[in-house]
Amino acid sequence: MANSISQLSESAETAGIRVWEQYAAADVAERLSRRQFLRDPLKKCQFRSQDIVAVFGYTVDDSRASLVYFWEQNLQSLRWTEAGPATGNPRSEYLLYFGWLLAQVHSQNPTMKKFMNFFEQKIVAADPKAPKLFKDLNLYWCRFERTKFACLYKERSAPGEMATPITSSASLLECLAFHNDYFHYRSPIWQAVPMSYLSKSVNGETAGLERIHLHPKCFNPFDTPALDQFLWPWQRCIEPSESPGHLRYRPIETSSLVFDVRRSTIAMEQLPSDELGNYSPFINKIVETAVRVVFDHGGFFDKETGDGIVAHFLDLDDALEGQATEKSNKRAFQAAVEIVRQTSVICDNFQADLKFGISQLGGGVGLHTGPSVWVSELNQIRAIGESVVVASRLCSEAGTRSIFVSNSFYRDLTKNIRADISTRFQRKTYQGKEYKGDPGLFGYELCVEDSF
Amino acid sequence: MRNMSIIHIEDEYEEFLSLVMAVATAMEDYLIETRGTLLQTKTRLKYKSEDEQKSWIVYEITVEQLHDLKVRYIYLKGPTIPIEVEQYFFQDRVFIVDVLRPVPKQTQLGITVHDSLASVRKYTDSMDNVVLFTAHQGTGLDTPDPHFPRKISKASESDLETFLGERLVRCLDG
Repeated sequence: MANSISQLSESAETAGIRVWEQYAAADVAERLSRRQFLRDPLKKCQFRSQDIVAVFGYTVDDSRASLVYFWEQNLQSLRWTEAGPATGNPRSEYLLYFGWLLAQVHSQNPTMKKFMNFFEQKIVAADPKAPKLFKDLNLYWCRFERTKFACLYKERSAPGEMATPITSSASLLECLAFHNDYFHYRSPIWQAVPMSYLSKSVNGETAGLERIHLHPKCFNPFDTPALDQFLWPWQRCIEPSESPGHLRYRPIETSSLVFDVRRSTIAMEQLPSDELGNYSPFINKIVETAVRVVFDHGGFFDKETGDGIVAHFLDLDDALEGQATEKSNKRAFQAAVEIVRQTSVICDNFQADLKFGISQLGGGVGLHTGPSVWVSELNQIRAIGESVVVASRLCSEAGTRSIFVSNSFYRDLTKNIRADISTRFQRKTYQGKEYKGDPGLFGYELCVEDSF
Repeated sequence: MRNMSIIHIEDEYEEFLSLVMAVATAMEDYLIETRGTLLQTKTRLKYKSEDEQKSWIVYEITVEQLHDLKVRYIYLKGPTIPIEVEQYFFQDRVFIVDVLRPVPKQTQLGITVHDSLASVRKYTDSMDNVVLFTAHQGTGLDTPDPHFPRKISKASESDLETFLGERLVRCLDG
């Protein structure tokens, strides 16, 4: 079959209720086939008969690479067993560890031989048989705009000349480009999930790597969920309903962050007509900065709202088992502070382009923790529910360069932050758009200054 | 439970070797679904032709805990079935046939569907056990005719897996 991003089916990792209900309604033979595509939508992709064993994708910041994407040729048989995720192939369990080791030396684009020079002892320590499993395999690298990919492939020999490997770099490049495109354009993981944060946090622990790269791929909402299984938030929101073969959503506790820039429209109107083109880069910079800060603090990106964003935070203890992790509300608060600070600098610099100065040009953030349903649909992840609605209302009434949090968020947050920061918050009433008159609602606002 | 042979006639069968893994995985999934426990399959390259063209090859899928169960996936390059391969056929068998081949460097067919089916017909009593798995894009092979097998396009390999899944379930339940 021709390799085509548009023809790939949904994966178990990102499928929504509609896909799972169609799966349940299929007859047994079709289910057996569909299940394999859910585990690995790329299972039929071939790259001019190259034998691709695994593909690894990395983000690179300050020359440090984080493993954010993983594919291997046995994913179609990946399933949840009593011992955790397994494909039945002993090689598969080393591949994730191998991919993490590879990140340590990515800057040299090593071949397999060079890699073994660096790490043979570690590979042997992980399993004495591993070097044999990696025999006849080689590595090919390619850097794309935002990510770097490597594939582990089997060297083919020319017929009758066993010692001469045939290596078609074109087909290997096609393979890496295809995986890169799949990750960026068909998998909402790249758009929504703080993979780099998670990858750095597990720090090469095999169990942690398996949790973030394999556990969600074993998901099946009709199976009895394993207590130890790590799932993405939208997977946790799907559960069987009373009606056999049907599913329903259930909300989970979510800390939502809603950010937008105040007076950005006035700023646009104040641009001289020949400099209107500067407005779009200004807004892009604001949004890119906010998204990067959210990911840096382990938040999930939901959407852009023109001159702002919506993002969500969850406790990640189950993803990062054994690692010390900050509570979601604390990370959401830290991200909010950082977003306001960094976007304030961008806004201050933009004043130089304006006819008149705007003293109130800057961002405001609303934060609230509450139940919300996470949904994966049409290649997008979003959360719907109380946490987002309240955070949005708070954002709309937050002062410029301020963070406005709900009463309950404030009470929980103060348990996790320093007392001198807690006392900087001021009680403030807000309207809430559905209420007429004074409903008496209040939250707590913090004006972000550089001194804490 | 009955043994089954899948006989896949395809001149470029190397491109479809992944179907063996798909069948083995479907077996494991079905056994988990029906028995509640993972019974792992083992796939071995069991027999192969000695010629340089590798004109046929036999993979055998077994399950350690189910000693009598065997599924053989047999690939053949040529349109006719070599006599030495017959011995690897079980009573339950399905045929996947792609042998519409043009005369080299010409557009007319060198081997027709009828030629290919003629070689298969003596090994099966029903065309329900045969699938034309082809890249042919015309409608000539879609004619409803009880003497003519079902056609699955090579663009829909998942449909072929579903067909194999049906037959597999029939044998595992039998």
